[in-house]
Amino acid sequence: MPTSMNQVDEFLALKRIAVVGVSRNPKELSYTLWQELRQRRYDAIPVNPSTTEIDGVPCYPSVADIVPAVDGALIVTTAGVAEQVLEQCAAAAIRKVWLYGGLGGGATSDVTIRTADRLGLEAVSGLCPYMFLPGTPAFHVMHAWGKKLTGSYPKAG
Amino acid sequence: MTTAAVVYRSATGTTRQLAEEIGAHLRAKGVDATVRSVGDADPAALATADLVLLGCWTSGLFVIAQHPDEPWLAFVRDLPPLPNARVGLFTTYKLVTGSMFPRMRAALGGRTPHVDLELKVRGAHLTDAGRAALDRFAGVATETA
Repeated sequence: MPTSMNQVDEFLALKRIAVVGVSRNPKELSYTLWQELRQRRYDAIPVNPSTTEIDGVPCYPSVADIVPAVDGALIVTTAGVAEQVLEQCAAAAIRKVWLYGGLGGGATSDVTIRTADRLGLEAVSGLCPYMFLPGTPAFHVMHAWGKKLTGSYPKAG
Repeated sequence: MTTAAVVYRSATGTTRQLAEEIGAHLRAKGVDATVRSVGDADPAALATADLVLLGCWTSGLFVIAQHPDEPWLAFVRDLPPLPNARVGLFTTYKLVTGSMFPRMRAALGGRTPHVDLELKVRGAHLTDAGRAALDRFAGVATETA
């Protein structure tokens, strides 16, 4: 089922969010997205099993290791890795997830959408959070316009 | 020792890089400078700093309607009055800064009696002129060649 605007709004209303797949490279989208959320005063927790900290912020190997638990998880990995992350989210009782979607597909695929559904997770899929952040840079506004023109922008409800 | 709080809002990392250069320059001049993003900084803590530098990338439609974006404005809304601090603004830009500084000043409202520095940098790095302006702002000596 396509993501609705309500699902987007509910996810972005969360305060403590795991960002799974944050790169240490400041030029990577996963890093800038994590920083964007932090600058917007989200309690954004980086998850990357390859490191223990990013920019001095503790980084966790899995969503299951985060204490206290997060309200939701933004998954910015490949779709292959995202399948495993979805299982971890379900096991950690994280019900709200966002499967990043952008150039190259990101974490969204038919398989990850089906997996989220099977696990009973409320999933936003195929979308980039930047498009929905107030006052977002022009490039992301244009991305949203493109989605509206093609009918793939979330509808109310 | 003079204390400085450098607080930045960066969309792509450019303004963050400039903020870090500003902090490093001030520290090299003996100022106790901290550098934090608008997400990490505590607005109330700025009330005790001698120097407050607030930076934001220049958002706008090419050459019109330049403005600070929402995360910077949200941080400034939470700022306490800064009657005793010297307050400076900085921005990074690609084409023009246009209405950026007027909008930043307007957002500050009555929190400060005046803004003592407006520093704009095309790109991420301080220029010699920028370093000299910072020195004047901080009241420290500038090296001459």
